[in-house]
Amino acid sequence: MNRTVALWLAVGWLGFAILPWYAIEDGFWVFEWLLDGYPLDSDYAPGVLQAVVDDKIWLAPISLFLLLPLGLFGRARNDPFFANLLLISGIGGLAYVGLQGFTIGIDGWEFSTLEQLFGPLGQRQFGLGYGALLTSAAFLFFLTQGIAARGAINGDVFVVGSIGLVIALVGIFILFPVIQILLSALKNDAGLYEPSAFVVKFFDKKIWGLGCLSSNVSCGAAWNSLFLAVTVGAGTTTLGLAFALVVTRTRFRAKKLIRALTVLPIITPPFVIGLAIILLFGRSGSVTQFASDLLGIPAGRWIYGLPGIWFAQMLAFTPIAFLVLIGVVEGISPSMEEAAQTLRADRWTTFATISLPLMRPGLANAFLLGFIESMADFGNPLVLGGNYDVLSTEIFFAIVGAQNDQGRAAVLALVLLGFTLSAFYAQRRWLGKKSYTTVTGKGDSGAHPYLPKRLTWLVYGTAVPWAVLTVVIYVMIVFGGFVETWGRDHSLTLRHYISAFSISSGDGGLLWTGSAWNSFGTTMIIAGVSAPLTAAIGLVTAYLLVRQRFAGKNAFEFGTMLSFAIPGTVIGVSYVLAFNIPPIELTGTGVILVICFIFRNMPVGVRAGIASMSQLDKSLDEASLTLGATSFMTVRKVILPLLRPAIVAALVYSFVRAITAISAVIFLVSANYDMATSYIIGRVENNDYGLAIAYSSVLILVMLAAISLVQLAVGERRIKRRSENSGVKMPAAESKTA
Amino acid sequence: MKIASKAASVSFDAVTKAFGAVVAVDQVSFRVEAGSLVTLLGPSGCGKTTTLRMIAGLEMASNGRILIGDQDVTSLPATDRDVSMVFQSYALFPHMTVLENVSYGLRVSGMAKSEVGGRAEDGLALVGLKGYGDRLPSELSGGQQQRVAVARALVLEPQVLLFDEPLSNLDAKLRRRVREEIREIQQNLGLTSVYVTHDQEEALAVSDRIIVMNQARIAQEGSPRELYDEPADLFVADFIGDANLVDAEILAVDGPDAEVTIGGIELKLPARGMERGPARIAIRPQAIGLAVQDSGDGLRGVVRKATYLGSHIEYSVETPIGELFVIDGGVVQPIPRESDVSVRLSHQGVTLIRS
Repeated sequence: MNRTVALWLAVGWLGFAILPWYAIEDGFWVFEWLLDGYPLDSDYAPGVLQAVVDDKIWLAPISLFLLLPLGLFGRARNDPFFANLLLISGIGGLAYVGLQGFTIGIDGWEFSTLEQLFGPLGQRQFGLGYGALLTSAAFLFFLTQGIAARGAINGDVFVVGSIGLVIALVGIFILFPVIQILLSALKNDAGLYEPSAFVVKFFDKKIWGLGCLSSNVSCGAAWNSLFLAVTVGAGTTTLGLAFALVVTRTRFRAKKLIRALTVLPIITPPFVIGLAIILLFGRSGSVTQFASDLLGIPAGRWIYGLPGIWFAQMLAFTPIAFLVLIGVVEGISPSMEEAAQTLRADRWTTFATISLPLMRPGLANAFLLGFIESMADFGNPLVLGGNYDVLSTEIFFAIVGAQNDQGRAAVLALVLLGFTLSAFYAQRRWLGKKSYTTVTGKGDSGAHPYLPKRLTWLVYGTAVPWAVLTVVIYVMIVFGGFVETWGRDHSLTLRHYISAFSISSGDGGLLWTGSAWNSFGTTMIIAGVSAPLTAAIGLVTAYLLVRQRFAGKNAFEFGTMLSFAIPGTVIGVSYVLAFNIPPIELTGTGVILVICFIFRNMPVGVRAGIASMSQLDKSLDEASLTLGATSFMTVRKVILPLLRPAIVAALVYSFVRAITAISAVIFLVSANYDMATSYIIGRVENNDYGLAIAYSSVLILVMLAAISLVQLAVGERRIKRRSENSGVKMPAAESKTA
Repeated sequence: MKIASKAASVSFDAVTKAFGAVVAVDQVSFRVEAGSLVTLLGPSGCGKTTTLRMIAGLEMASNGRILIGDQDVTSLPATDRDVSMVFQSYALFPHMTVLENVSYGLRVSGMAKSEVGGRAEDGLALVGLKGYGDRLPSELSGGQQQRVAVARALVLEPQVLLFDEPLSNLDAKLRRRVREEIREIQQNLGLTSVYVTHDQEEALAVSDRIIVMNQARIAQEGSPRELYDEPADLFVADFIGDANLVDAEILAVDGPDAEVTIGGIELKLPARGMERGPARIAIRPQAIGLAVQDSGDGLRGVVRKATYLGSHIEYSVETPIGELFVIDGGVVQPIPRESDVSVRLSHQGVTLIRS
């Protein structure tokens, strides 16, 4: 028996014999139970005592699986018995804990056949708690150590354990909820399986209706979403390309400013742009009033609906297209364009025949990203939607509104998921193989040629007004918080800030009397907790994907990137469906928010990690391994220190996304754990625009500050790069000989 | 010198490595004696680097057994093998100083902190980099980085020290000096070393024995001299040094000698166990003598190209037995192009080869 097995065996027994087996109602971080009847109270008893005190005899067999590893004493690690015993204990333990959790629920037996077989069950089970968590973790790592002992991945316990952990987490928190959606889409209103109910709900006119083509009724939400997503994808790609060309291939002076503008939408809660658009173009918006006063155009509600959503999404997602395209446009090797020019092509021909075709994959990529983002967007349609129903908001209203129809929400979620997954699949399938990367490790010299004149003006004409509009929108956001009532009374005031963030001194010292403090504090804590966890799991996954070879790696990668393609509303619904009842009971807690953010934002960490890890020459790891370091030490001492930029990126991004997210959050918040975004949306629905805008501006400032802080704390990477002969090499320069 | 050696032998017993359907190393067996330097030589893609990585434990053999000393290490991962490696890219950790790099292996293997510093300093002194400990790798020249990589591998006193094309990132002058240094350290410490290169001159210069690999198999194994003088087949003859490969016929075999005819000239060469019948011979470019004056019979040819290279001249001579590549040290009186010459073969550097 080796140290790692002994450690996990101790953890397993700690979970089974000492810590409370079931979840504590008061919360994950509340420890009052220690003084309140523990260990004999049936709510707080550990697994061992549950079997005795509360007659939950089905928990007793778990101890068998925990006793098995004791048989390893005196066995060597390469003894087949060692691996087999660990496998039996791990698989058996996990399967048994899962099985008993799913078959015995809050009302006894979960399945009526079992009830008929064994008679009704007196006891009830609640969600799994600390004890079950630790015991299951121990079983999981017995399993992975058994697999490692059989020789997988050179018998590397750390790597196999990491793979096992990531698979388990992705399985529980991404696949399981999605499967729950599928299942509840097949249930009828009474909660019984009935496929015809699915057919009825799926072919609903409100989803697929085409009334808008012939008469005056509105089309189905699916068509609306599709049309919106295609137009937004096309629009953001065009604008993004214009900006990318301005920055790389013109003599435009304020290039830095354009780059800075692209950061803003990332730190802006998505619906804030919608708000600002209302302030400009709504019935009492400045532009509308200006037009009606001066030109006599009557103020209308035209902005609510397709035009408004499209406009807001264009503003929000153009920077994403820009960021994709700037990489592509800069990535085209200047020597290609120079070669074309030496072959007598003029600037226009060079652009049309060389540069543009080389950008094709980037354009497709930008389009698909815009498409997916638009499909998944929830905030803007909620604020600006009017009568234009789209899938993401329909899902919300199906579950929250008067209908409270989980089946309908599940069906809508499936339709939405179908669209985004197809786009995601198309992107991977079509673009994955076809990258025209022309950057080599050779360090191309040369500069990109400037655009031809006419094209330059065209590009300026598109990009500059848009940039100005973006600036105006953000000025509105700041200004709007200081105005009494937008559109009616433009006198300056601090009223909104005071009502949101006032502090008064009372008997017990400072009193946080502002209405926003509660949600603000929760948001900061949840974002702060989830950011490092997201970065950690993202980077571990990236390490496994870049540096290890194992069976099923493609499926593994797909699983970890899947949550990127799942719209937030779908995640929100699926979490509600999956984690509302035992064995995993999380709704209403802060933990579910943290978990939701971790798995929503994990792909970002993975991508950041993959990008920078594939720039580290693999021989660095190998050198460390041949020098006697284990793979865990290699990760800790060699890879992590070299990955600081990726760590910063993952930390900042997951922190910021946790603050700005709304779509999944709105399903998961509770009275105790309200988040800033859902609070703001609540204010918007009450027409309290002033406070909403003020709060949003504060959030934007906080995120800017947080980004700078993290940058400072993590620091810069301590390497001066030499162009050649250093350990850090571009991947393309790496030669795999023999 | 405090750094010692725990040299052990390395044995491959019918080792195969397959990547999916591609067989990178096919049923390879060899033995590296303790304290010797053996080079794996071959063109790129021949399986030499994969073989080296299997000694290190960075690749796992698909089949066969690998022994280091008396221990079967076939299924041991790199971490648990007492082997260190000098990488082609050096793989110095860019975020650690030179001293931290050299002491890394000592630290992670749990050596007492008090000892680590001294050992690492010894290692740096051994490669002549005393006083460079506080620099970052990026502040060193290519040759110095290379020596840090060697020191980092040496301080662990490994049973086997591996070199993966360690000189390929250096310029020609430096390459000669560094390879002499490596050979010197290896001999002084009595290290077992396995060295991978595709440069035959480098292999001849540093090795006790050379294993020539071609298409995932061993083509020939022997001392540098054996490989040069008695290549086993056309591939080795062509790969080690240049060779003119010419069709010939064995007329008769008389004990150790064979009578051979090439384009009308008769020669007596070591038979090397071959029978009567068609064969090939390999003629080293230095083994051919050219003369302008008419000496009657024998092989004649026309000089088609002459390239002056300072220390010698390279000729391309058209003859009835084919185009011959000739290296001639007589730079004082070069033979002009299109001259008629008589061609003589010396006994050294002409070898029969199975065709």
